[in-house]
Amino acid sequence: MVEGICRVSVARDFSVTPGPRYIKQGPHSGEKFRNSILLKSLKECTRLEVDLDGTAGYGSSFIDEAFGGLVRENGFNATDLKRRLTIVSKEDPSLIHDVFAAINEALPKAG
Amino acid sequence: MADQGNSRLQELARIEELRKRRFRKELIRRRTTRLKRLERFAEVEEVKERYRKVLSDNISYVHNEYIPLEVPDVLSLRQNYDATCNLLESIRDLVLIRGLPVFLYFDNVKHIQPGAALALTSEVFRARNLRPGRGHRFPLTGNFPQDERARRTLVEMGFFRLLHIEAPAVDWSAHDGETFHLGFMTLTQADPELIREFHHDLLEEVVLLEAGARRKLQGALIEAVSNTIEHAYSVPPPYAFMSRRSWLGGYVNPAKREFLLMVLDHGAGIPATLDATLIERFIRLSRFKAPTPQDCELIQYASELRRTSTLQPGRGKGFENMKSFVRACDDGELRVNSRCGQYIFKSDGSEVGSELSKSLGGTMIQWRIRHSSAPLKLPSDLER
Repeated sequence: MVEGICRVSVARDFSVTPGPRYIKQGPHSGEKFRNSILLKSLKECTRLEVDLDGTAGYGSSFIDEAFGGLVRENGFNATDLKRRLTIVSKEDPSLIHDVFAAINEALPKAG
Repeated sequence: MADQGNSRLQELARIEELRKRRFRKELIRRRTTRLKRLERFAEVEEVKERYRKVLSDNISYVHNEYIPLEVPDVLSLRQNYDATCNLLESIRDLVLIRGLPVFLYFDNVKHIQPGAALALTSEVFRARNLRPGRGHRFPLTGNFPQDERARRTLVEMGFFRLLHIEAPAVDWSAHDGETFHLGFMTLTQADPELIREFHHDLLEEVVLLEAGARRKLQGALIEAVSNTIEHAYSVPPPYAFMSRRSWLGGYVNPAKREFLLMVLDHGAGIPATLDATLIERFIRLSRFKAPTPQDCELIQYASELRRTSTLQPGRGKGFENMKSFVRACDDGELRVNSRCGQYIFKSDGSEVGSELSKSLGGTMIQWRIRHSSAPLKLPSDLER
């Protein structure tokens, strides 16, 4: 794991039209973003900055699955994750709140 | 005129007789299959003999005969709800359950409301896809409306395009220039690019949306479609269905600076797909008027799930986004029809729930926004 900040932009590195929650529901889903971008970056770097600007808009499920899913599905500790994540959203600052709310509300999978 | 009426009545009586025969035939088929399974072969012949006596001649005639259904003069879920739902129910009953071919008569149609047109298009789409016709015939067909305006409205909505029917010629010069319909779209995936394409070009011109509001609009539509895919068909609906399919439609009115967006599915309905334990919890908290909650109450409850922090994934958040638009605009409405319930949320924050006599056969969300003043800006989640 590299000490330092990795920077990820949803619009540049994933899609300008983020989609639904699950891969089975449609393209550019939150689940796909989590698996292909977030997990990889979190494995590589101690801190991660995610830029949410420049897209056509987010469904709340996308945000919930991408960030809340890290706790629910991938076993990340919510406190540790919040410490490692920096969210940038100049266009819609309420998304920053949504991301951290999704992490706080996510319950780890039993077993 | 009287002769025409009599011949029409005779025609209907003859068709009713054919329907009864078809029904009897189906009944006998089921009985004989059951008897064969029980190895009671002697009784099979007995049942068949009884059947032959009832049905005299030319049974195959039934298969090729189109059952006529008259489309009401006002096809609307607002002004003529019962007659419109009767038509949709008849199509489902005849084509999907009885397997009979149907001919839709559009002769008297004068007014077509977008919501009703979307519901009819989806029914025809389903019938034509799930019940392939016999002998190069479609299970459901019809004639074109006589009324020029009604014909033009259907063409503009993409009724014929979606059903792969050659559209009739229409006089576009007579268009009122007020209401422009967004061509119907059907999806089996919440494809964000298609959804953006659907609303992007026209809506941008009509209602001045602040950049944040534009992004919320896209997000709300993705939520609505993905909720359909994830939840609407989780409980099998009473009729044959095309799983994960949703329909989009709408119109824009530049003069009034108004748009309407609609999302429809053929699922079991919001009340049927809600988590039973959550409903029980709400019953215990006396949130419902009666011990058995009505459909409209359950729809309202579903629209509040996010606010009540039940945190059932994916439920209620889309509604909350739609409601924030309705609250922020000059005049707007969120109308949800599901099973027999209807729930309306208005700009002033008022909520009206009512029970209707018939079910639409799925869930329809209609989202109307009119805003003519400064660019529509939504309060952020933090301010709410």
